[in-house]
Amino acid sequence: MDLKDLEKLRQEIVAARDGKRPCITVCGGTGCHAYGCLKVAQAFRDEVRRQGLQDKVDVRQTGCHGFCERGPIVVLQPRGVFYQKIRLADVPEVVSKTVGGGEVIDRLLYADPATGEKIAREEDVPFYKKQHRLLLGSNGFIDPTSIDDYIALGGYRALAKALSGMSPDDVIAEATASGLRGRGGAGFPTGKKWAICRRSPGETKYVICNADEGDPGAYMDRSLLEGNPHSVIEGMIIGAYAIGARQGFVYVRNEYPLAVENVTAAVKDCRQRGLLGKSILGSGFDFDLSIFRGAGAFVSGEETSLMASIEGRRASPRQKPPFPALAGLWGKPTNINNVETWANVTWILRNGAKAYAAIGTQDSKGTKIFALVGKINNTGLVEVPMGMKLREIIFDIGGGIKGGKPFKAVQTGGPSGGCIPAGMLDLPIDYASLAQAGSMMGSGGMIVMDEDTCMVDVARYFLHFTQEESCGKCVPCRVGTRQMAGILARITRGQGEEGDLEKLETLAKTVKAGSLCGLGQTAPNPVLTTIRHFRHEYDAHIREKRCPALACKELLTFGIDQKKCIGCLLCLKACPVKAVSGTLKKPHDIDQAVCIKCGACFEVCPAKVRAVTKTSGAPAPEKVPQ
Amino acid sequence: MNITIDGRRFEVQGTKTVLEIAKENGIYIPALCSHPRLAPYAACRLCVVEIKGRSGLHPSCNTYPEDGMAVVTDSEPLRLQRLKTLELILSEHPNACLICAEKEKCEDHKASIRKVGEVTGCVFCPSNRRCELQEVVGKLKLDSLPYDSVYRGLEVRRGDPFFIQDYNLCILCGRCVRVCREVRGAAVISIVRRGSEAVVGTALDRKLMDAGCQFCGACVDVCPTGALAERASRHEPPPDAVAKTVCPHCGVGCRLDVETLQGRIVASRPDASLEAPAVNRGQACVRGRFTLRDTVASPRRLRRPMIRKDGKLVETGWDAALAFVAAGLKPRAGKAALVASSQLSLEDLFVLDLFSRSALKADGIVASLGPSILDELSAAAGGLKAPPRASLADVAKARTILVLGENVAVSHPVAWVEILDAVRRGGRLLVVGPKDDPMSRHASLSLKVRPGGEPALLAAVSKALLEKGAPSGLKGFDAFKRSLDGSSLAACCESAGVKEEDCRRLAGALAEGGPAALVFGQGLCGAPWTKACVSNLWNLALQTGAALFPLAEESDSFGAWLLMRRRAAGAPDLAAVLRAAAAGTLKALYLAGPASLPAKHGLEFLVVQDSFMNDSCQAADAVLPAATFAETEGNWVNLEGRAQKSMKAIEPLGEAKPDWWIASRLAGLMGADGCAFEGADRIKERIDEEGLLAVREEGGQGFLAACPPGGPADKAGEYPLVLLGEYSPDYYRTLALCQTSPDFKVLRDPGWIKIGPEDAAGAGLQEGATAHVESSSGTMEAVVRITAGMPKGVAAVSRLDHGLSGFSRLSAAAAGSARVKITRVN
Repeated sequence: MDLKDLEKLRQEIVAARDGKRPCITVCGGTGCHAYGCLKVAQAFRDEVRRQGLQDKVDVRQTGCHGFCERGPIVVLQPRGVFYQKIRLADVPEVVSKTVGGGEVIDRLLYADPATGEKIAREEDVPFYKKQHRLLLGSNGFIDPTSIDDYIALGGYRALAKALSGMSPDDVIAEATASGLRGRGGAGFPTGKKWAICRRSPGETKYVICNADEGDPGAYMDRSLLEGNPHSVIEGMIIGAYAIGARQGFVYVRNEYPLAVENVTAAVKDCRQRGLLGKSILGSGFDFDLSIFRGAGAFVSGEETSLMASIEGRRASPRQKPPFPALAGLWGKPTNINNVETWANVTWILRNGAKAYAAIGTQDSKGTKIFALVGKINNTGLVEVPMGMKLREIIFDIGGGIKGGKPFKAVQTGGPSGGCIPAGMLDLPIDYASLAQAGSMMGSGGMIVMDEDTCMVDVARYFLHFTQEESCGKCVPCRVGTRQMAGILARITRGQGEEGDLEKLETLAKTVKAGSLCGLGQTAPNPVLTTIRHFRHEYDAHIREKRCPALACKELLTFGIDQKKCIGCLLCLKACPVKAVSGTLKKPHDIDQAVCIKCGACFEVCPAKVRAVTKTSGAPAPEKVPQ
Repeated sequence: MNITIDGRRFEVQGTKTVLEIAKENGIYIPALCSHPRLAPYAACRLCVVEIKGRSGLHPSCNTYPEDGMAVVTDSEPLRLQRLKTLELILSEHPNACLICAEKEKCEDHKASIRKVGEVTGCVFCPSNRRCELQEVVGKLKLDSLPYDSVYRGLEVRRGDPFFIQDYNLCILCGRCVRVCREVRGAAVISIVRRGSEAVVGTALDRKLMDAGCQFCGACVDVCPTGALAERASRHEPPPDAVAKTVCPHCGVGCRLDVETLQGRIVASRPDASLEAPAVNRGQACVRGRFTLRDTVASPRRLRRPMIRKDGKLVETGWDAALAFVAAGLKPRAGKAALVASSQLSLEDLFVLDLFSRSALKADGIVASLGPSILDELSAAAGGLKAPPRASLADVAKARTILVLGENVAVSHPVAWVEILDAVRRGGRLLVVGPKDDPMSRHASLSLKVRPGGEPALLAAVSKALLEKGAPSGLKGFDAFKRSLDGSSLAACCESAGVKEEDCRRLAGALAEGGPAALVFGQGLCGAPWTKACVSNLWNLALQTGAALFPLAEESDSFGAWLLMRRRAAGAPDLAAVLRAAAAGTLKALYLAGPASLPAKHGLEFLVVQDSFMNDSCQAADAVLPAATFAETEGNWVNLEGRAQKSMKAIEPLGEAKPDWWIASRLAGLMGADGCAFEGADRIKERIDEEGLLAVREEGGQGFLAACPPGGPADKAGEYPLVLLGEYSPDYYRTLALCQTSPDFKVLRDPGWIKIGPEDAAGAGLQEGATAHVESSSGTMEAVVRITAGMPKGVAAVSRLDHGLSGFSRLSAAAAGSARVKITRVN
């Protein structure tokens, strides 16, 4: 297939498709999978056939729509009617009423939590309204296993453009002009990285797509690979052409089975269509891709570890320099970019660097995808222009905090990032601002916390994570994170001592300055930012043995307010260790020596009564002598 | 280029790291994971430095100089960073003694406290006072620890021979893992698990023994702490003296530091000095590293002279013994022979040679090993003045290396290290042999020939190379070319059992240019096709310009060959001596090496001069106790032809005397001239005067007639399996290492027979079963070891000829062509 053939193919595909023909798209993202979207999609297919509409209506399982909170999501094209939380029982009605009759079913629509108003079309849902979905936008329209779907939407046009009229240096110039910076976390300018790799001496060069996404709660890359693998592959072919690589690797973790499946199928389709292999699109440029499945170590996402893993060695980082652009995979110049970066490349080449550079801020261009999770109403993937304020993401798009509780902090950048407090909600999201706040862009995890979240416990959690995921090679990371995690665990248990904070700060400094790779160099960030912004919480734990968020179990006291207790026996029956004593209609009491602080009594105490108290740093309510 | 370190200017090349440059110039930077033989690892983070104009700290072990670079190795932030990092290291290492205020005084009165099951402090540690961590703690003046210390509580691993692994003391510097992979090519160990759980281990947590470890000890030697400790010496206090010696086993002649304590050998370690790098560059093998102590102190050691009185050997003094021996030998002069081990020093062999000529009227010494590869090469070439002298350093630089007839990884492990070095530098390794070989793992081409197919393959390679064009007008070329005309390339390949295309690939690799080396050894010796094989190798070397690298088997084989070269043409070789002894034409035999005497012989007087009690002593009229290599001074000529001086480490055990001393005294008593020496130095002077070592081959040797395939076809008949002998110098003189070191017996028991799974199934043999092995000339019993790499129709046994392996019995005189049958013993 050459350039003309590609355009012809696109026209054929488009011509064969009736743009006005109704299509039921069922979100096939990981979140919706968990909600049972496969069964929903099958039910739609069955129902369409049952109603004899199979020649008039398409059913398509698409990539992730992003609004995971509300899955399974069904969007009826071409009108864009947005149904959420679809159940199998709703399927016949949707097919007969909406598809057949054009009637919108009110109860399946999304209601704006602020106004209660029902919203019929996807683009009007507040969650999507403020987003700028350059990369995720196509997810909802294409079947990720269909290369035709991708081509129909203009896919591989960017590649054709690069291969037909542009020299490799032109492509690099375009990438540079776009201002694109690496989306894996560190934010190195992509065009500059490519230029170094292109200039590196050597015949054999490689490109790698880093799809070893490992931050807890982050799934942007997963969603892209699952939902639109061709956009990533197209970017890689363009990058390979720019750099002069003949071979590429997609390093994807095996815990992403759907991503592995879809990208493998996509590579196969590309080979069949002549988009990978010898003389791509008749240009004389040869390039092929291999899929390499990672065995699930967080540190494999570090570029030198990742390459060691591909080489068949233990995934353990090595000291840089030399940087991979000079000596990477098997010692050859290698360019490694993250999934989202590659997908951005495709967009830039298709729409031009100028259009891209128009989005975002002075030094952070384009959009960024975040995985908005935690105590947030609209859990999901959001893609926003750089420079958007945290407040807009969390409140306008995210719909605010669950249960209307006050916002406390947001952790960006995963275990390498930091906690940003409520006072900094107006912080614009760009590389520099986040770094200044002690956090980092990272790959795009955004964990929202409310007043019930203990910041010491958050720091302990992340340090525990990095301690376990450290490869164990260098001393500061291996031992330093262990010591820090130990001190933090001690503090959350109420065994903190004066001087612990200073020790933590010294350790953090040692680990940051001394560690070999990015994992260790950033591991102390959660500790440093929580100390910086929430020192009072640490002090409460250490000095008063009190957890202000009532989250650290060992600092809690469960008691029964004798005046409120109605003696219903519920808590007595719920207690797994028989710490609650009492008889019917007499106030109960908790034996503190027996209590294991599981909270079962607190949970079961009727809301009207609220006699069981959960406190920290204060004694249990006294027992009234009877 | 120029760089400055702490304000001092240095002119540097750029190939050394900042750490190395600093070290060479006396600037101290603490470092625990870096090691001169290993690639930078940058894990301990102690060696961090500041570089002006660059942010952050940089590990100097992984930083290469750039022109104008300004390095700061000492500053307050650096001191603090290092101290804090060291604190972290110590928090996972028993540290009570390291930060103890009384540590200096403690040493004086706690000499016996080291025998503990688990090491919880330096005074209990086998590496006390040689520990690099201890040194760094001292240098950085760390005296307290702000963190909780963690004892990992790992089980001390005692299940392997030679050394104990206590990973509670490990600081994960990765040196052991790296030396095993990078230098020894074994990759037996790796870091397993991650984070705080990371630990050194093997795949599937097997014992080292089961994971393929050859116990070279390189890991033990690079360990900066006491995590890896030699079992035999771990409870010993530090040595009081160290002697530079030469390992007496194989032809490499590794330099060893023999550590002694109160006149007793405690341990031996490879010489790792950087100033004057030894031939072995800090490496050794299981023999040199772990068995010398047991060898020298073996219970089999002979301590006093013995003479036969009334049919019994009785101990006596030297005067009486020497007089007795002189009286017994003198009347039999002219009908006597002297057999000597080529593991003796050059001085010993030189005096024994003189003694045999002047006192015994024999024609010099006969090496107890039998024909060595040097003899075979010389014989094939119609006599050589000196064997080719390639150096190990040349091997390491070769672009192409062909290994033939020897499992170098086992027989000459340190030569193998150099071959691996060549491979690491991008060289190609080509391995040819009748069975799968551990070396093949590193080979770019590994060809399996039918047993005895080596000469045919070499002829085929020569033919393939000729097709590419004739090289030169070297002497004998036309005759050589004609000699190959008789048979086609296809026929040669067929006879070798190799595919023609593989043969062409081998030829192509050899013709590709760059320095090449042909490495071959004892495995080719003693077979009916030996001469053909060696001749063809010789021609191939001329055709390709490759260096011939014969692996001299024993530590002084080269020296012995130089002495034996002086014998008259037709002088009896070992086989002829033993035949004459059996026939009774030889009246007296002086045995200074291991030899299998015929059960019935006509000798009238047998003298055994050795360090160990051995089978020949049963028949001896006199037994003279000789000092071991560690108890005498002398030179050993290694396989490069390099004479290396070995120092005396301890006094001889009992009344043992150096071999040269005994021969010199006997010669005096027998009235022979020219054998009187007072010290090894004087002997060496005489050797140098005679120019023995200065002989060089002067070229001019042209091509030899090629030996194309031919000869009798294999007849399977009654004996279906071809028996191969696996050679490895696992002995010192008459003592086999498995006899003196139980650990060595675990590693390499000579009592096995290896066969492939198919043949084993055919004979109904299970792993570990006892098998009866029979050839037309003898029988033996052996334990079956089923080995996947053995081709059908081939079996292998150890060639160790110390009455332990039946190889010589089974193969009669023709190694490499013995055929056997194997049956199960019920």
